[in-house]
Amino acid sequence: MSILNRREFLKASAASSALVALGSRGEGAPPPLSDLHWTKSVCRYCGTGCGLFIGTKQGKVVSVKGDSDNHNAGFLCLKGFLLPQIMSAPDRLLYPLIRKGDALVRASWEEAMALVATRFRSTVDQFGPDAVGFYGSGQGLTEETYAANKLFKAGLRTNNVDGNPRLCMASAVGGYLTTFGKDEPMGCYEDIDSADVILLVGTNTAEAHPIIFRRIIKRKRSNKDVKVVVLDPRRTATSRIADLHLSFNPGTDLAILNAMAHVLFAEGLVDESFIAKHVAFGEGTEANKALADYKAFLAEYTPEKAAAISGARAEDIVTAARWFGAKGRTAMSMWTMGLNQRTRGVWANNLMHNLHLVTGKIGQPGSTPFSLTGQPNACGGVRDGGALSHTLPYGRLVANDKHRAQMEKLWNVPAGALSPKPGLPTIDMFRAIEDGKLKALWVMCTNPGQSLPNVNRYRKALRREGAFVVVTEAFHPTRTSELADVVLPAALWAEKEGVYGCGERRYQLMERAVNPLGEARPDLEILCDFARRLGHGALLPFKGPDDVWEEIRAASQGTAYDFHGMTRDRLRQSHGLLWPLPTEGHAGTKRRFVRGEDPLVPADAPDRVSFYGRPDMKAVVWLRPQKPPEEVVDAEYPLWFTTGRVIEHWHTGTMTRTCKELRQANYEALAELHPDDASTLDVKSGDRVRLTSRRGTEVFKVRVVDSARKGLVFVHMHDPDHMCNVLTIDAVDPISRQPEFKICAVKAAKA
Amino acid sequence: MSTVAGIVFLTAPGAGPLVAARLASEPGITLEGGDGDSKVAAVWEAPDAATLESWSERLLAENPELLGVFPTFVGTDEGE
Repeated sequence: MSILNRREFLKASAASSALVALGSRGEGAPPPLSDLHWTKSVCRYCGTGCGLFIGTKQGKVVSVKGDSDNHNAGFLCLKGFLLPQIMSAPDRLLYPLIRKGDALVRASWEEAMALVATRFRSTVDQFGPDAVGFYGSGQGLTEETYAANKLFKAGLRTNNVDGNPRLCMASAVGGYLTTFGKDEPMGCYEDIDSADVILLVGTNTAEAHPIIFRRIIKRKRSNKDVKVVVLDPRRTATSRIADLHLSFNPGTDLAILNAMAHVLFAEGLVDESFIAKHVAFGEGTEANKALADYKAFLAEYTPEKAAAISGARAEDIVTAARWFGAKGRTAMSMWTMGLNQRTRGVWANNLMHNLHLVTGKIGQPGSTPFSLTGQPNACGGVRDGGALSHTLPYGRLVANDKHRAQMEKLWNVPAGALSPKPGLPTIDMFRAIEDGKLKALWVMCTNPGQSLPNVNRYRKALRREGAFVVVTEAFHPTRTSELADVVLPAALWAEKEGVYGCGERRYQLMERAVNPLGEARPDLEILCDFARRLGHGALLPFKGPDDVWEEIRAASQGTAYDFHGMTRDRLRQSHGLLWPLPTEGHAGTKRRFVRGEDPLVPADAPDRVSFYGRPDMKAVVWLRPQKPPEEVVDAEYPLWFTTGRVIEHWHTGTMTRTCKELRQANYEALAELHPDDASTLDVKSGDRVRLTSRRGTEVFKVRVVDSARKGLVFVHMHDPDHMCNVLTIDAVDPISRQPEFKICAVKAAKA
Repeated sequence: MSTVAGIVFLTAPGAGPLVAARLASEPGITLEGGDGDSKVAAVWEAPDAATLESWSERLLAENPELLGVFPTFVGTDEGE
């Protein structure tokens, strides 16, 4: 029997009194924290990458607490706080399943893996390597994603390797690459603390990134002159703190951003010296324009014209530009899916960067363009690790002869082993299954049967005769595992060790805290087993994630990502390290491209910043015109439709919907309607409405809210029983190949 | 020396989970439970009781769905 010290006694008394007052008997109260063993880790949810400690007792995860030495300063959102519940959820998958007819039945690991290996081997033998593919995740560990990428590209010899980051941030990658020549944000979360203006575009930070939002609130509270500007068609929880909220017609923000640039030039708020030294201008794909061309391009984007296009007020556009460009004040922009999930997502990203480049508000504390990320390791695993169909690790491209040669050497495979032909990006990959060209697919740690746009089309493809689908997943059933031929039980979060890389280039080690439940195995173990059965064991000789990390560090060396100094021991000791970090003695890099901070910028560089991603050492301001979304409203489909997140849930809900407290809020996806639209449809909150797009139809319960924009319906993405993606469009950005989840047209009728 | 308090938060109907989500990121707060609708139970640790009062006022000002902050217990830890 443990004896409580006074503090624990007080806390127990306080908890009891509150629970008694609540009417609860207190069964849910956590055990005394002093009884627990604590393991350093990272939150499993969004891309903020909050550090935390996992409390375990008798081999079970029973508590978490925030890491006060990490960027989140000990704060966690409710989802993170409730993480222990996901570990023992009733729908954890405990053993392999194999399809027998219409049913998935229990199998041994041996039986399941033998079947998987046989089917992949025979598919490659019969139809060639490009008849198989791998679809990964921004939630897989860096080591797992690296191993899968290596096995499929260097072993099976196909570049059909893609992942769900294609759905959430491919346009941000495209934006950084086209503007700066190198991917990933150059700034860091710390920039929020000194930002005088914070421009939030297409991000409901309050709900999707609550700990970043907390930091924004803290900054705003610290200085009454700090201005927050929100561009979002909806009046979200984020806009509650805005000094200026610009609501606009979906898909018209390119006009607004160009108009802001117009005002910056018209009112002398640009930095001519910075432009002359550090900026090139381009149109299409070539940096072949001049400042005069850009000014001529902007001439037509008057605030009045942008207002007419967008439905925003011209004076608000002017105010936003004046605040952003005010001399002597810093400006930070943040954005996420509202810009990225668009058929002009890369262009929209370019226009965000333009604002910083013409004002010179970049590469200084408080001044940076910063794309927020949705998944905990989309950056570290898939994006940096080169696990997309056209990429190789750490900034290398499959179409680049030199890059392939480097990886062939590192991976010890013969010259010419890596195919120079880019593989299939996500939507094309699932279309290839539909067409019967891709015959065997490995899905790891993600749920495309719910998360793809126009999802019913691809659900049908996954069950197509002749298609063989393997899913490794910690939960079952999901809307994907129910379609699989083989489901392999994967270890979850605290049950395995590996590195997560979050939105600010911060890499963090998640240590294993407990053993996997049931027969579950870490994905790395599963992949190594698969490789051995295919005869590629030499490619994945790893005894554990430490071995993989050594190889990964070597692959990063000499690249713009260089984190060779991030040894496993340093990661174990630290609370996150920001790359570049080329040597063991290096502290990490808060701001890239900045002399004195970024080790890749020479100490004697003549200027404060050096955009070394491009040969001329300049970043590109792109001339990107307003373009409408792929689908616009018309007489037949008169309502805009958009999707997004709510604070209580995450992604397809496989984890958050297992938590008791989270089930009590926003469990069901509702159609949020403006009161005028509800009146037209003769519905009120609680009624049901049938929404129909050109792709499908779904019935949702109605929530009438005055925060909705008239003519725009919002549905969250977290409900597997009422899937917003039955309606969304699978048109993609021509550069990033990211789908336009955020905008399509629907019609509605009372159901 | 520090103060430990048991607190019940009363919210607008249905807003309990949302308020709880926000409270979870407040320093010193440990959520203990809720009725899933309009009440949230928590333990709060702070340097002193006066901080509790100002903190309550701030929460009420910032959260329109929060209707009341009701301490059910306040104790002082004088250290080991």
